Amino acid sequence: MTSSALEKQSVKRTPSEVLGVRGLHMTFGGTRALNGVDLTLHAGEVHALLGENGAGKSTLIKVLAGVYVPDSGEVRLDDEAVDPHRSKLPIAFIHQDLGLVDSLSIAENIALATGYASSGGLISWRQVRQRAGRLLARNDFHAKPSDLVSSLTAAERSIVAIARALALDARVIVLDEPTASLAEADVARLFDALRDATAAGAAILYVTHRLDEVFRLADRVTVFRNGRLIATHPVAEASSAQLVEEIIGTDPGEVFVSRSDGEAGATKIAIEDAVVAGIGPFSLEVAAGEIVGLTGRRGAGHELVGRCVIGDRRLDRGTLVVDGERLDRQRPRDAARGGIGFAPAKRAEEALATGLSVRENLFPNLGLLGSGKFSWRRPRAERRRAAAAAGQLKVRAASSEAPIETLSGGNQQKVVLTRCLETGARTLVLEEPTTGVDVGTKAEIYHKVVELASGGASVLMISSDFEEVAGVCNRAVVFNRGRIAGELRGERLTVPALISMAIGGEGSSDD
Amino acid sequence: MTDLTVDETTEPRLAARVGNAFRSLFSDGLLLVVLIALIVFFSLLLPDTFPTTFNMRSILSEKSVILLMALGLALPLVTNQFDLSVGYVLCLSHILMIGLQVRTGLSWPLAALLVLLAGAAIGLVNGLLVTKAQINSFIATLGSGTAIYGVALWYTHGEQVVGNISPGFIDLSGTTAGIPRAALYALVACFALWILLEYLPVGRHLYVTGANPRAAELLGLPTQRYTIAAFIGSSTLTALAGIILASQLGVGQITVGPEYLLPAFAAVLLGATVFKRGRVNVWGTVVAVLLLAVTVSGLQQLGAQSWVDPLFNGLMLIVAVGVAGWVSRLRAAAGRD
Repeated sequence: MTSSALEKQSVKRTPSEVLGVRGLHMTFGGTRALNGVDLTLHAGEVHALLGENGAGKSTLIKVLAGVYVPDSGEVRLDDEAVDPHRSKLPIAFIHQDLGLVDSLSIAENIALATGYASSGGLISWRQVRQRAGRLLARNDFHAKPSDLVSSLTAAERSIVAIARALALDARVIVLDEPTASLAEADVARLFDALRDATAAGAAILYVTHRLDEVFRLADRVTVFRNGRLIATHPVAEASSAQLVEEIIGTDPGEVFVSRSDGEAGATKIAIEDAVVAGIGPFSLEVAAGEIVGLTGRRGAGHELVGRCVIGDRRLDRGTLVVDGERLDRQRPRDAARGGIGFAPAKRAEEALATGLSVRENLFPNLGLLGSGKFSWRRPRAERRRAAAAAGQLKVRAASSEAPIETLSGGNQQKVVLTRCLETGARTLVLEEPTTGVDVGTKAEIYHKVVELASGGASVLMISSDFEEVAGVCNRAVVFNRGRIAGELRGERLTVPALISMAIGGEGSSDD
Repeated sequence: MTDLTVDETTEPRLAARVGNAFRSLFSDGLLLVVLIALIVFFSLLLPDTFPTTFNMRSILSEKSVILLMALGLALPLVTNQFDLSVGYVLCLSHILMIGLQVRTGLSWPLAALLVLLAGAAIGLVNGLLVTKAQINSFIATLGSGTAIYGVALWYTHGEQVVGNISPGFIDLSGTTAGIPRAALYALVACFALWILLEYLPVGRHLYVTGANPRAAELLGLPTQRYTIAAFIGSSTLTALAGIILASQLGVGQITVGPEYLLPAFAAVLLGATVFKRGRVNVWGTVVAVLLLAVTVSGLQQLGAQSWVDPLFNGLMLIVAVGVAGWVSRLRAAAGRD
């Protein structure tokens, strides 16, 4: 065992390698999730990890956590090969949800990980609190150890999570998009806490989508794409243009359809001076025959716009007009009846009727197909219609009677989209329409969306996938931290432009 | 063919079809097979007492009350809600049915109408507690049921409610062409509910609401209204069962009612393992009620004491839920291949 040697590791030898991976290969099915990855982490550095979803970042993290065993390659700690799957390494993982228990106090949350201080077999709550107090004293932290985690701000929670990681003598802290739900002031506090941690000798692996954070915080940056480590740079020598190019690569792929920049029709959706849940104020119009992408980093606010259009949320201020009718007080029922189709991003939670068949999932609300609640429906006719409907997007299923949960994610998504089409919806709100969908299915979905738009439907595509937005939409409205950062269309609608607008400090517009 | 995009290569023709039919009989129709086997078994073992008109008649008339209750319970269960109040609703409704006639002096049709309305009102309250007050249905109906029991106790002072009842009301549970009328009412209710759940849009909407209430809401379905309607249906059908029970017993007793809850529940959940695999359905419920009835009757004729009834019902409830879970896990695993 090397653990006693590890603890004696001096933090003053910089740059000394704490953790490294050599030649990692990992394949899932036919996909190469990691393809010969070499990476080193130095004590006291913040090392940023950039890349799109599916680039291999999370696979790497799961290998470090011992969740996945790589096909080949090794993980090295202090230059000795180790097996994360077998032995516990001094690495702490802080995911977006932080792993804190809201209903317990700060002190208890720390004690959950470090063990409760006890005297005479009983928990000594005084010591538990004192220990938490000591751990958090070094930060600019005002909450008391006895405060409930639920009473803390988002930044305070991440600081508790980091303090807990350090209390476990973690020498490497892995953070996975910790700022996704943080406001700007909180981000600054979190960064201070992270700098304290590196000053104490910890190495930080910081997974992010945000270039601005890389430049503010990181010492080095590594870019992943398609399972490969593309490059590692000292941040001082990297430019954002170079990083963006490395993130997206040179081939945008043939997945996308050539969008027709035809003339837009009459206005279908008009939102004016809207404010919802601290997002906005913003104004937005969608015309018939138009595919408008609402995009930004997760949590930027674009998701809420679609939710307002389908009546799931109400605007706090401002007006929403669809087809010339004011709808700011509508419910999902009104939206559905008004011909607004919706495909939610969270398929399992919000779209699929699990346990029911493909047919039943194609026609879950028969009222929208024009039949009354108590009008007779003919099962045979419905089966025929299900087969025809499923043929539109080539749903692959054993039969229309197969339970929906036996279909692959892509086919489930096709069912959800077909469901909207079958009701004859002329306005579509599509949330992350291709998450968890393979490339071939993506192409089919995009073709269908473009076909619908050419037929006069208006499509609001809420997507955090910049390639998709750039590839399919006529126009993109980019949100950045709750505001519209700008709008891009035509030739200016490119992935780098979207990224810089979505993560940049200032927005620009081509109007 | 109604298939979508099927892998024809993986399906050899005739052999597969026979195999599938066989397999589906034993997975989908297993309970029916067991029911027939049990009837044959007890008939061979007890040729003088079991396969008799008298025994069949008594099973049918006795179990019709449970079947009506089970059909009622099926409605909230389709929307994924529990209604534990029905045992007490049965208690109160059969007491009221007698009491309104002998104490208040109402004619039986009027009394029956009031009992059905009371049942509907209880269902409305349950539905509102679950949807508007957002109380877990298990807790809400346990509470409302106990409160209903309190009302029944107050009404009866714990004594039997007896008196002169019109022959017309007693005739309600007589026989037509040798078949107990109670069974005919239950059969009518079966067809009505079957059509509602399988052939009317309402049925689809109820199932979708139960499968994923959030999705149902986003799809534009009035999920709260459907849930409330399901509870109203449940306690109204139970009130109907109470009317028939009152006609059969001729007296109102505070002790009668709660013991019907469990067999009814066991029947619906056991029934969900037949025909529509993992889904609450009418004919599965019918088969399950008969299976429970035949088994208990046969065992009792073999000399088992009356305690066999609750013991068996309790165990069957556990087995039913266990098997249903197991079957759906098997299906999920098979689907992933």
